[in-house]
Amino acid sequence: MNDRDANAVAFADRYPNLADVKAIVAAATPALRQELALRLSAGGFTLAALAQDPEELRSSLFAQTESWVLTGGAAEIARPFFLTALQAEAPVLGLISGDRSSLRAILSRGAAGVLGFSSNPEAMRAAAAAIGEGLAVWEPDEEHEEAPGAAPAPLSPRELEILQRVAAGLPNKVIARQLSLSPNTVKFHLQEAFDKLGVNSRAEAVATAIRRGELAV
Amino acid sequence: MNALQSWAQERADLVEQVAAGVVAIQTPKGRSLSGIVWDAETIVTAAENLTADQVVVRSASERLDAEVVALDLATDVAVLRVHSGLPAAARGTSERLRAGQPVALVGREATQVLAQWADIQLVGPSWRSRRGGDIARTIRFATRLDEALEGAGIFDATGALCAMAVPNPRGRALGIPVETLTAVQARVAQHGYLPQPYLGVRLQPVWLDETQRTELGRDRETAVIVIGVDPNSPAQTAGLVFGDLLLGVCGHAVHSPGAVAREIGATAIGSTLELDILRAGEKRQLSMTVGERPRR
Repeated sequence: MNDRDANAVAFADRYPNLADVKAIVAAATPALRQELALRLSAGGFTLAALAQDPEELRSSLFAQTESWVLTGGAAEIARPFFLTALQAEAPVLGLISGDRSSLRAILSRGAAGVLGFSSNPEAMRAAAAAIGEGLAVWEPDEEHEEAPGAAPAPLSPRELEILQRVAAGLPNKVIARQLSLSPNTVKFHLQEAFDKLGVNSRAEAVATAIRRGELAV
Repeated sequence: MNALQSWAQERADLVEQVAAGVVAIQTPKGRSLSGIVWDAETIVTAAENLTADQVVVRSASERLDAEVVALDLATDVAVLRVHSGLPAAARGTSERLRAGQPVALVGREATQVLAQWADIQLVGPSWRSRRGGDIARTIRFATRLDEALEGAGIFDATGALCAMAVPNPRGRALGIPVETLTAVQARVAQHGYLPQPYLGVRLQPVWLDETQRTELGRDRETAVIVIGVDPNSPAQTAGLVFGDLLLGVCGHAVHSPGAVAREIGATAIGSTLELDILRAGEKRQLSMTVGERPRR
């Protein structure tokens, strides 16, 4: 726990011990949902609900405030479930089959864990305990070494120029005036930057660009 | 009228009395929030979900375009500028709030009043948000906050504004005390915008092996390294250079760029920071004056 204690006071109820709280299993196909539900009970956890798409997961998280999310399958299929859970600030664990390197970046965004699909119940319990503490868990993937080319695309000078002004709190129309661009062009560049950073809001974009060392603190 | 009837009526009367001082806020993406009328020109609301520069403000009878002049994500307070001419919500204090005390959370959904009575679950000391904002008091509720009540006023039984309602990360109501709202609004009023603290240094985490951790007396596996210094920035003036390892800010160990941003987020512009750095294997201390993030 590195954050100040006062912070812990306000969010003491943020990540409960996951062994004591129910899980929502989120996966697109019935077979996968069933498999994950079995793995969940093998790990000694209890099931609260099943969700077949991110929308359903969102409403389940809304109804079950004290819950965590188990998802799985191929990285690209599991990704939207990860994002939905993290957006709701719910702890999320994924059992991922195949190459999972593309999920690496997600870990910086909250209490998330990524394990191989065939992880045993022991590994699941350990990972759940860690993400319950608000930590990120990553199981190294020996079969699929991260390719050197997998590094995230850097922001272009134009995108950076705009993001620096966003960080100073300037609205798009003022940024547009300063850079002699149309407000729509600013919006377009900003959306490109959001996509590269994997974010949805100005605040997240600034925080992520700082974390990636592209924007000065 | 029996006691129950008059109790019910007084609750509804109080909501009606304070409702003139709250508005609905509609974002271009269709999200509806609530807001508090601060004065005839200013509305205060929650920052987290206010992603637009322009929003629509709805009172009981009017529909107005408002400009977002400041988003303080550190404290979750946003300030909107609009010539509404609406009566300001009567401001009180959060000092006398107590656990177990019922308060009214009052906002608006379109033109309709939206209200909820809730008991305060916990009143505690000041705390620092995850984004580095200093919040004057902890005001916690056990109740979930309706989405449209985000940014609503929290009023005590006298009808005085004590706090603003925002959701905590798990969706429960949390009060941002009126003192914190006043502090943010005062900074915006003074400058016309919200100046952001700035050092001008780009950072990346670096891994420390066990020997390095022992030598430096650190328990976390990472520290941060300076990978760039903005020209004419406070960092340049202080003499930070590429390759410096940043170990601590004002005595707090930092392990990630985000942790540094959090430390900086709550500091006042013009204040002095003591930085612990490691340069060429040698521990040093540097003093730096926090600057303002350039606006062009």
